[in-house]
Amino acid sequence: MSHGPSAIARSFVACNGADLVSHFPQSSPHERLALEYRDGLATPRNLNIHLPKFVGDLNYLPPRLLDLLEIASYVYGADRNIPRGSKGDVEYHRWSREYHFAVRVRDHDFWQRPDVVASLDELLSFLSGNACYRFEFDGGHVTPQANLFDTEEFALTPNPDARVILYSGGLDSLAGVVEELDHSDRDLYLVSHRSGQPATSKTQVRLLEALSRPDPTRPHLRAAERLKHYRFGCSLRGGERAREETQRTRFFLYSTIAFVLASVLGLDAITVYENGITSLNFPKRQDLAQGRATRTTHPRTVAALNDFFSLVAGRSFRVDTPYFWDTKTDVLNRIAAQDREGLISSSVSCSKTFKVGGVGTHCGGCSQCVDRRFATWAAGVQDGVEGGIYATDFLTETVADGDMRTTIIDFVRQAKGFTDESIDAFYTNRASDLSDVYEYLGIADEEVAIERLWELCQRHGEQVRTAIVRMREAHDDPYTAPKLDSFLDMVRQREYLKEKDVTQDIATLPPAEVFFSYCHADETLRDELAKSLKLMERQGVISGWHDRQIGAGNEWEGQIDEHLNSAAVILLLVSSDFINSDYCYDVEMKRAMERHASGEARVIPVIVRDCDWTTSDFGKLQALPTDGKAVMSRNWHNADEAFTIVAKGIRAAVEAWRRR
Amino acid sequence: MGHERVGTLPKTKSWRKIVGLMSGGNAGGTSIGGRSGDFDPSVVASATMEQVRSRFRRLQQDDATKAAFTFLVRVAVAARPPENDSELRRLTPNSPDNITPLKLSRVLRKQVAAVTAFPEYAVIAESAAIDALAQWYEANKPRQAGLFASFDDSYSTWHRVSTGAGFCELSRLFFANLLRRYLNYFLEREASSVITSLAERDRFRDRMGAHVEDVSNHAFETSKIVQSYAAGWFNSHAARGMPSDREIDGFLSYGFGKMRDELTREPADK
Repeated sequence: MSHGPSAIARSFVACNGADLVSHFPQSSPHERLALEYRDGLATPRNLNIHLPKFVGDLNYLPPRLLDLLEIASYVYGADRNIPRGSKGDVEYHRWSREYHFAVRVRDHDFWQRPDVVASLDELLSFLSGNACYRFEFDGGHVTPQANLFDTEEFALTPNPDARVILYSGGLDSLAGVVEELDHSDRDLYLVSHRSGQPATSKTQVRLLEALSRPDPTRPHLRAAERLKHYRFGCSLRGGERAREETQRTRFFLYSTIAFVLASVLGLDAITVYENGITSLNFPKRQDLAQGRATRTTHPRTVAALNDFFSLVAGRSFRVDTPYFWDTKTDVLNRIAAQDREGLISSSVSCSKTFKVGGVGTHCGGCSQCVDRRFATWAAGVQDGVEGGIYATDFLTETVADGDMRTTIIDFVRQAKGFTDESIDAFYTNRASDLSDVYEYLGIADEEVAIERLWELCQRHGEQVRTAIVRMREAHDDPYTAPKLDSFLDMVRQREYLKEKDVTQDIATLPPAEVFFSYCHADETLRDELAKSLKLMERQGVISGWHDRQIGAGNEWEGQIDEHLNSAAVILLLVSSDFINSDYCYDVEMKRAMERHASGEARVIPVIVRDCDWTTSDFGKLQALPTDGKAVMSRNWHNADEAFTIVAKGIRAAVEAWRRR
Repeated sequence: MGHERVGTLPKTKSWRKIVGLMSGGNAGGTSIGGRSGDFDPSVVASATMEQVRSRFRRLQQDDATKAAFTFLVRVAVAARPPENDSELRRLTPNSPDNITPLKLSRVLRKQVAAVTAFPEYAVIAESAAIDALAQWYEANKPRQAGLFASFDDSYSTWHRVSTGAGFCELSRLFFANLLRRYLNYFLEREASSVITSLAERDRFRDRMGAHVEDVSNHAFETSKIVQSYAAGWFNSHAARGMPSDREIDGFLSYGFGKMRDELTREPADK
């Protein structure tokens, strides 16, 4: 018996009353779908497109933009109506199909241009993972005036200094709005798509209310005055359940709404705040290829949007992604840097809120929830923002759901994989993914592009490691085995099953020797750090050593060498003086890095004073305090706060080291 | 944003047996939440290939697979002149400086896209060819050169693929990566669900990868028949220029046949 595909599936979709059979005489009845959002026509209304309401909010839209909103809505409507196969199919040949659309439009001359239909095809095919999108257009489409002001003379007044931002109510768009409010005084037009899910709309509104609330400490923000929220509704009629849940083309609709608003405001860009790891969304498994891991803000999608919107606008137009070189943790740090952590719990990242079941606001196990959770811990803001928001607590509770286990384990495996890879291995192992990325980054030099991507992924991997260390520190009880198949069980199993004796007897291990590498200009700071570590010394966790402990008359260089070569943990107290010191940098640091690379010791840079260190030999290591913000900087209320964070980080590293 | 559609394997008894094998059990079925134990990669691979035997044949014969492999042959043929880089430059016209695997991959993607009928197969085949280019380059570049060597360095590296031995190794990498990716296409859907320890899950990946590597090595190196066939085929068919489609089909059919034999023979030999 022969298995496998015989031909790729096709769908023929007619919209706005275009005639299916005359456009697609070769189609079979079961391949046809007619979509309509207006009442009283031959095709019964089966889609809600709230175009009149949106036009009413803006007063007037030119015909081409009206067409575009309808086209994007119909593409989304078809996506929701046509199943893409089962997750349990042997091969996923039903995932990709040929789409053929026939749409009646107003600006027929423009839409039928070959460059326009080719641009739509390139954009939608890559974004959705479908094989192709072919479009045919009929002219003569008209819709009634939305209201009395729906004429060109009442068009919205241009606001060239404004910014139009895609606003989902998630963390990344929250961070973008927070930073824009604080760093500029421009008006911010927030754009959302109403998909008929009340929970999502409520989240967006509540978060916006929180952002707009007068803040006595920030009277200059004028948030309520500057934030303007525009929503465009498009959903299946009457709350019908979608036949396909993945909605890969939703981002086209979302960005189209923003583009339309930006166009009437006279802007040449829209802004999408999304971190780079999510934008790249490297498939964590082979079956996630072909767009089954979303490509919403993938560089190739963004490039295709730039091309397409530029054609529609008739001038150069951009989709800006300012957080592309950030990780999720970096994004959270941006919120924290603005002292707006209080807003985090009002944001919602979950893509499966229907699984919440009245408990919290997040399912706790979808890829977005998992990403959010690790980032929260990595940024160290978990205490104030985690309480009760997750329906499933994967950290300490048994994860019974197979999809959730897959999501959690593969998220961590990928992060760990990043940290294990040299830049050469990153290039070789991920060449297939990288080949679809680097040319769209706007970086001419391939080497520079790959290096930046590698650094981004390395940072993400290290941040996930930090998160896990903190999770374990907070929840792990050495005398009690974690619940079977909880996350703590997943990461500790090796110790419980194979290294039980080591794990149980950690308290009896000798202290780990800690070596302080510093320049004498920072001696006072070294003393302060040593004080912060004193408790660990008293508890027998560490024993510290630095060169001031060399006795009079002893040969100093030999003693330094001896301790540098025997220490389990080497702290580099980094400052411009440290980098400037030939001995510190060329002798101590180099030797420390050799031992780190060979696995003999763990090197931890402690940034004591601001300096340019990120491109140094130790720049790729996880630095302390959090995100390498210098101890002596305005990031901390005082040095004690920073040293406390440093001490906690060192404790976690030392304990992990002793468990080896 | 960032959504992933988590796949599963079919709920049929035969697939559940394979899931059971992955988690180290006997072929009796799934042990959710179990440990990977002493799973046998050769048994898992063999059982999976047996389950999708006719589908794998479709993948081998798919136009995208042929296009991906044909591109590798084209690289090897273009890199043949020792002092003349014009042919290789012609393959990557937008690369004035060095010729990196990613630059070749861009061209490869376009050539595969032009013949793609089934995207599921195309993405596996094109990724396997890109893997092969990247791995071959990494293994053969001058030690003192980084990934981003000068044009002279990169050309001299690619020139080495144009020998019988070089082409044989590039072909082996293509077959091994295609097989690995196709097995992962199924097994990775549930591996992390049934092997719920990070360490064990990594071990599963490593052992499966090593097994596929062994299979391809055995088919191409230990089995001198294939090695001499690959080298001989290249030297005779590529000496006068690009081999014909029919000749390439013949090579693919022979190579896949040997790989399949090795894969299904392995458990019986143990």
